Amino acid sequence: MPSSTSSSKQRRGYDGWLRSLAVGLLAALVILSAWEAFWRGAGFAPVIEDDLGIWTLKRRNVQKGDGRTAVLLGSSRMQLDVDPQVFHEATGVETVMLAIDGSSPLPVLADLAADHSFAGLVLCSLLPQWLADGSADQGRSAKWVRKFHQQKWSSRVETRLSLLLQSHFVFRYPGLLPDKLWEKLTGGEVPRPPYAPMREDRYRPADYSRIDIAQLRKARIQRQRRIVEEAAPLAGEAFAARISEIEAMVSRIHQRGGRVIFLRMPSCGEILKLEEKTWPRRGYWDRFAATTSARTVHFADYPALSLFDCPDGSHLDFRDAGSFTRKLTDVLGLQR
Amino acid sequence: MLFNSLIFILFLAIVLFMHHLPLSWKVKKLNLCLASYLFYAAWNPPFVVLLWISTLVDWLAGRKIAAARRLRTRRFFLGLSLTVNLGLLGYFKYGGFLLENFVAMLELMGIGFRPAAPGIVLPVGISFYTFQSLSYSLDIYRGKLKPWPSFLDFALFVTFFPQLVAGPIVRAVEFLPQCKKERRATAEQLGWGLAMLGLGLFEKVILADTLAGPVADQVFGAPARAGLVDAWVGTLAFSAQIFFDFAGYSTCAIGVALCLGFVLPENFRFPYAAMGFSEFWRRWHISLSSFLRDYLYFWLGGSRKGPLRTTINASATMLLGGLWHGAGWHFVIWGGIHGFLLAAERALKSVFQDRIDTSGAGARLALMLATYCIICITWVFFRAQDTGAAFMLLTAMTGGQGGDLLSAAAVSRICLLTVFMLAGQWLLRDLDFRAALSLIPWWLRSAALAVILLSLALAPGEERAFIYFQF
Repeated sequence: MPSSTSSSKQRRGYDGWLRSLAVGLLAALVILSAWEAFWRGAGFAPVIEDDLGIWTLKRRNVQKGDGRTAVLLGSSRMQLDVDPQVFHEATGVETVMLAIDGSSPLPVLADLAADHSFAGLVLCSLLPQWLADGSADQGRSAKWVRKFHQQKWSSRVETRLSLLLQSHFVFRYPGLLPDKLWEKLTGGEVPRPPYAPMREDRYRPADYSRIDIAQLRKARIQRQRRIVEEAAPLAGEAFAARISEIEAMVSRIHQRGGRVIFLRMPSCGEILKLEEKTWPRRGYWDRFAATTSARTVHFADYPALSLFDCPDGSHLDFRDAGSFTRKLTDVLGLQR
Repeated sequence: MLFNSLIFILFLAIVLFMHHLPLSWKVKKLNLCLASYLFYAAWNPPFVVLLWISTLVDWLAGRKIAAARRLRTRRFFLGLSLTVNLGLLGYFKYGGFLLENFVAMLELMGIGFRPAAPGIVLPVGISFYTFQSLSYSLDIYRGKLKPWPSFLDFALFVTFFPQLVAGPIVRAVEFLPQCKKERRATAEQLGWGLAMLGLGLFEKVILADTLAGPVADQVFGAPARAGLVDAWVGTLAFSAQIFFDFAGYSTCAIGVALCLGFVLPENFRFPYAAMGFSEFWRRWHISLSSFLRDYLYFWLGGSRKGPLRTTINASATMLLGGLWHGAGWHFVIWGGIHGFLLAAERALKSVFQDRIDTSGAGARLALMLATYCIICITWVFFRAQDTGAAFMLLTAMTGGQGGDLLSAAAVSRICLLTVFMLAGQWLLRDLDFRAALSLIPWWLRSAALAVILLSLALAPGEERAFIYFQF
């Protein structure tokens, strides 16, 4: 192995590499630009991926804030139905979206309860299954909370750089990366822009005019049927213990001067029927509402909240989300 | 900080910019040293202290060994260096393993002992930098090196970020002389260095993580459900994954170092084209095998004390080499098997060398394929979660277990990747990597680099650490 890089023999070995690299780089840039232009022409716009990185940045904002932040917890219903910007405008309170798609919000609530710097408002959307089944707490939200506490400064810088790329270029949209594209094309599917792209504040405005709504509704119902089949709702003492567990989290936040409000967000049609059949309101929500010291709001009790249509059975269209958010702040008496 | 991350690209751009500013060589070395600490602190800032301990102890030990007149004093300071470096390695890497085995031994003796979980976090790359730092005091003790006059050079040698966390393990005699005069890459070297970085990332991100890794994970994650084809394909996938992952890291490291004007030793030389196990170890993780050969195998007596002692020495070296890779019995078994294979090869050679003609292309290819197949079987112990899982997979490889884990697409993808990997290594086995690539016309190299860069730009964003970081 040579110990110096200065010999002429070595220099000869490197000949032409700078030119090769420069031309290769230029060719790659030209092709990438053409790729970018093609997908932009097909109606795609830059999309931010909802992942642990951006969630931990938001969670950190809560930690670094004045302790009075309004935190939106829940799953996709919170992310698609409540616009944090509108919520902020209506209430004047700094608002952070910490809902995690397809995952129980209770691990995040437990984390906020343990965070002594937090004494703000928590709006927690509870799906019936999150309330009735303790095993749901082992999902993605628990993992993200754990990772948040282990995160290094370099991961935060990495997330910010990745956000910069994602918010400016279509080619980084996961649905257009070659592996996903291949899956779609071989499955006979035409790539389409996402109908609920995430904003940088983690709100996901859903535009159902972009997709085949009948097909989506059918898929949602099938998914809900699977969830219902696998459901193992708690009963009796076990459910009472779960309520006490949640109440302990609520008390800790209330003791610090914070406030917790639990929400049952709208669902419609077949999805609502399946939810009611598996986790009847009287047996779960009402029992919980009667016990907890937190305020509880069930959409069905408020005409202002129950008149909204959920095109896919589970979420609101973005045209309704702003109005729903304002009405929600009104119902909760949070408007400034 | 991972090479396959955006933060590293930013970091490297800043480091290269600083390295090309009109500053004195001393300031540039200081910049590199600070950048290396920052690079390491990206994982866990407090563990930078371990780097400082290794640096200080070996710096002082080296000076004392050289200055000592009495053998006892020389031995004392060498012992100090060995104790501190191997002590750090032992505590962080093997603490939990030793405790676990101690508890198991007590249980066998009927003594119930339930200690609290030690909760030791393994500092990334500790096996690499402790060995590297140790090579300095060992070389001074052996009279191969004089104490280096500049502490800054020595600190840079221990912490140089391109190879800090996963090698190549660079010897002081290879690195320190490079610190004497200002290192600055020529434009062509910069081009080659960056091309190597791209190629290494391609090996890691596309070949290891995207093509091979998911299949290996699927099979090794559920060994009980693997059938004959699944087990073999999963093992082939892992053999490709670990090669592209580790060789990819070394290629990146050598490329990044060259961009800064430093030359690092080659760490892989088409290892799957080896015809025999001793040749495999001359081609795979060369910096570790040569370290173990020079500082352990030769110290034990090497091949100078007769065939039996040679076998024992080789086996002991390989056992420790196995344990270096991880605190688990399956790593020890993996090392033990390689020790046995080296001994068996030596014995077979002594009997058959003059009787069988292995100079023909067919015989050479058969030898290479046989070596590769056996190496693949040994990888089962390396990759499996534990020895139980390894034996389960070996049973599946002999057809003793039914299963249907992998899709036809996954099987054909891995078979294709393996054929290309083996064919490439076979064709290039006698060539120098850079010389071989330099024979390709510049425009074809440009086209290949464009494909590499495009693949990286469009690769899935999932970040996977390099496998060897855990060692």
